[in-house]
Amino acid sequence: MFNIWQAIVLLAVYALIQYTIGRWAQSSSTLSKKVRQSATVYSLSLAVFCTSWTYYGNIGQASSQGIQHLSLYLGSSLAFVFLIPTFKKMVRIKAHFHTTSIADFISTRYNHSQWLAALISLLCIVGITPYISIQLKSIISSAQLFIISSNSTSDFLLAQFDILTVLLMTAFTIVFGVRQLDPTERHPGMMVAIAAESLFKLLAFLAAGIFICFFVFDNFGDLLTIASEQFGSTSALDTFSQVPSISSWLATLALGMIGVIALPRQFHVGIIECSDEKVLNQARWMFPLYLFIINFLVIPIAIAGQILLPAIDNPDLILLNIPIFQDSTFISILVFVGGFAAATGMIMVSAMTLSTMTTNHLLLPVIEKIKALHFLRRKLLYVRWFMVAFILFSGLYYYRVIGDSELIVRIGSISFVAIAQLIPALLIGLFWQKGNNLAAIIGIASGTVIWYYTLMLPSVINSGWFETDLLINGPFNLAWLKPEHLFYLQIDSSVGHSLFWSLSINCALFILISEKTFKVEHSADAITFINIANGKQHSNYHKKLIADICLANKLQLLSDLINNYLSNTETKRKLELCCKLCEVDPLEDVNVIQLSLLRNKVTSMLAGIIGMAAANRAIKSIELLNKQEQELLSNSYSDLLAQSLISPDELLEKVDFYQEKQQLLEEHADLQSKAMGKLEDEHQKTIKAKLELDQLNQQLENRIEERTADLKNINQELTLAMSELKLAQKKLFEADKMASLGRVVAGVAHEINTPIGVILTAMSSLKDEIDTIYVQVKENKISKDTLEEFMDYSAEICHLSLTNIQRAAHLIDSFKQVAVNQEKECIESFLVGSCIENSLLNIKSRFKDKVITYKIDCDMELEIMSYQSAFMQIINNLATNSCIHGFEQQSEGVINIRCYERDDQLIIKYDDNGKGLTEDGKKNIFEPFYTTNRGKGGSGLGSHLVYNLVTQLLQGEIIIDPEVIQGLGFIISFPLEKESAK
Amino acid sequence: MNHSRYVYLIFMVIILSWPVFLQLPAPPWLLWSYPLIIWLGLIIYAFVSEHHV
Repeated sequence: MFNIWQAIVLLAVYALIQYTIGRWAQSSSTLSKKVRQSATVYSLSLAVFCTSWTYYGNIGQASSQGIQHLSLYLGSSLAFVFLIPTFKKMVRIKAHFHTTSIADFISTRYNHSQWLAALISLLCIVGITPYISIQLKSIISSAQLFIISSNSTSDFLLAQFDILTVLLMTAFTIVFGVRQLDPTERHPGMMVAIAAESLFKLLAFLAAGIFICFFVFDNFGDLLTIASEQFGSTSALDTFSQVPSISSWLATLALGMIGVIALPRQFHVGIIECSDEKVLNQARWMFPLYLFIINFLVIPIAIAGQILLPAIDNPDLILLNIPIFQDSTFISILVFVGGFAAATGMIMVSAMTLSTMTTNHLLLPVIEKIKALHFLRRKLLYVRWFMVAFILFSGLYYYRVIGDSELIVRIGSISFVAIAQLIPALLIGLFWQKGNNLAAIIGIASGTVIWYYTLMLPSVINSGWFETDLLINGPFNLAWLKPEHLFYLQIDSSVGHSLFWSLSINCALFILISEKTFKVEHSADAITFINIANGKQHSNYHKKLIADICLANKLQLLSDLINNYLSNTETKRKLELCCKLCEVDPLEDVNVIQLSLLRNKVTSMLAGIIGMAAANRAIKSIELLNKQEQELLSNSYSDLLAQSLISPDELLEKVDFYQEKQQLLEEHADLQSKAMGKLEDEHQKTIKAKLELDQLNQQLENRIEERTADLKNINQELTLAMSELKLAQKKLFEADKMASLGRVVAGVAHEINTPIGVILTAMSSLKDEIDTIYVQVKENKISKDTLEEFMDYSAEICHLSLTNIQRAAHLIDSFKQVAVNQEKECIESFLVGSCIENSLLNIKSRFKDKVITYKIDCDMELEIMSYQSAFMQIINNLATNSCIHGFEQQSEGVINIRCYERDDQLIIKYDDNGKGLTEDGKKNIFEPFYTTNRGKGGSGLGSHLVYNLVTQLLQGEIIIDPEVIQGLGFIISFPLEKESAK
Repeated sequence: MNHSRYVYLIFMVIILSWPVFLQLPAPPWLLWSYPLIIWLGLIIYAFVSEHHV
């Protein structure tokens, strides 16, 4: 609950936001222009149809009558969707005739009848002003619920809240709707503000609905379950599923259809404010969707209201009551402001359009008649402002008078039925040429009388203001004249009853009188109205006529006329504009057709200010064309028809045909235009995509070039690095070779040095002995013993030297073997098993002192083509190494030799169970002169020789078997067949 | 779409004749949802036909 000041601030903020939106929409920015011309804004502005009667009243109606309320909006949706072509036609007519309101529109159709326009304006005032009072009532009722009274000032302000609201609405309507005199100019600011208001009230309603259904209750199911328990029904919907009567349903459906077309505010927003008939295509589904959404949650909210607030006095305010009851401040504010928005939107548009109608069609004719009031012609804008205030305060007065009576509950339907009386003249007149102003006036007047008698009067009586005798017995006790059962017609719905009789009599009289009083010569405007089409119809006929009328005099007459309503400057500007549009020079003479065109243009322009009917009358009053000129004009048209060799009826038929054809062509052109638009869009997209692709390609090429340059650099660096690496490798290889050579030379030198050294020492010693013996021989002092000792010593030295020379020779021979001489070897076929056995025979005889077991696992039939002697040398060396080094400290041993073929290779797995080798030994075993038995006869060339034979002669490979743990093992592989060339 | 006017006409006939169907025995939920479903169908058709053009 809020105090009055908080509420006023809240509404002031809302009004300020609306004002800002409206001002922005009127600005010249591109975005605001786009917004105010958008179909979405147009569709939302149509939702001014949903007033507080929808916002609050639907829920109250659903609480008592179930789904009855849906029919109104269903009817509106149906009419709107179904009658879009008619709406488009009305928009075209509006644009052509410069009409300002529904009264102006209908009167234009019926020969610009001022009486008809006045009658319609009066009907709208009578029908709509009470409707404004409903909106005020909803604002006051919601404010009384929303605002808590705290002191006397608050009480006073709350009591005057309706006046404050009316003042605010008056200011708003004047600022946005009646700020200028030319009301045919659209009011984009007001329409965008109305659209924003429509959006806000929808969101507020949905927020409240979701809050109630999903926060107050868990979900729809929970809501229905609780309702079932509380109401004692099998289904909660049963309570709200009262079957509406057929008459009531159809009547409300029809009212919905009528309302969306003929309600003054709806006509204004839908037709007068429509900038382009194309926006109707989107509105065709968007506006019904809006109505659907705002009605969807009505029944659940009404059920929730029955559960939470069973004893509520005014079910209309359930939507506001529940959030207040639940202490939800935010939702309460939303709902209150949403309701305010719903009411004010309707009030503003209605006040604007009613003020235009009353000024143009009720006040202006009076002002024109009474000379004393002529000064008001220049004050029309202020008159219109006054009328806005007058209408709104009339609504307020109406509310204060009947606010608490039963009448106000029914006033919405009553207003709709009153407005329904415009439908025959409006819709039939659009399509039926014979309809005329007399028939329209009588039809509408009679329909209005029937409406008053069958609906308004009973409602007033039922409100307790008069005796009910009239309703019970009928006037003068004539039962067939009972207001609610006229001609004994029994219809459940009083609205349906009144609608049926009023519209039936209205239509019947309109058609009958039209048929009886139809005259072809009076139907020129009607034909134009009916056959109205887009664009101008150019004719060059007038160029053939002689220009003999002084335009300056005529312009003076027109200027004097317009000056009655506009300032001198504005009058001059408007006249110049009209001349320009009619392609005439103010300083030259014109012909009668050009003058006629100028007259029509000025009439249209003036209609924007004072309405078509009044403008037509004003133009006639100045007698712009004298009798002679009128005859000339008439003759010109007759001549035109005669030259065309066509009768007026045939001309009309042709016009009909070509207009229909033009319409079809335009529809086709529209389709083509849309298709072209799509193609253009696609083309633009393709161009855009191509540009993007080109850009990407360019980027890619740039990137590739960059990468290529990088790669070139890297390649150069790599080439340089590779060269350096090769050089380093070569140097390393040379160094390794030199090192290897060094090791070999060192090994050879070391091995040969020992025997040579021994020989050198022995020979030196022998030479010394020989020198000694030589001296003794020369001196003949040598004895036999001495000689014998010398001889023995010499023999010993010779033996020692020979032994060491032999050893050196053996070493050199072994060394020669290391450099495998392939030329000496020859390839031959041999059995592997036999060859191994033969090799081992030598070993067995050499190492008889050790018990060695030889296990040979070999296919004895396995035959290969290779170097047999080399093969035997390999086996021999391996076995010798095992016996000398492996079994050095043991007297027993096992040697395993396994041979098999795989992938054209002979695989030999050799191992022993000797002492094995250290890791360092394994690493160097194939190095020349590496031995673990240095000084004990080992030369260190056996394994190296094996390695050279396998890798160089046999072109195979040899590795140490890693699987052998005890002892030492080798795996040798080489091709089964060596090529004979090798 | 020229045929659309006939579809709209069918919608109108269905909605106008609904009270006749009300005389037949039907569960209450159908009563409530029937107009909404037809209504939604009408909106969807209007939307689709506009975007097909």
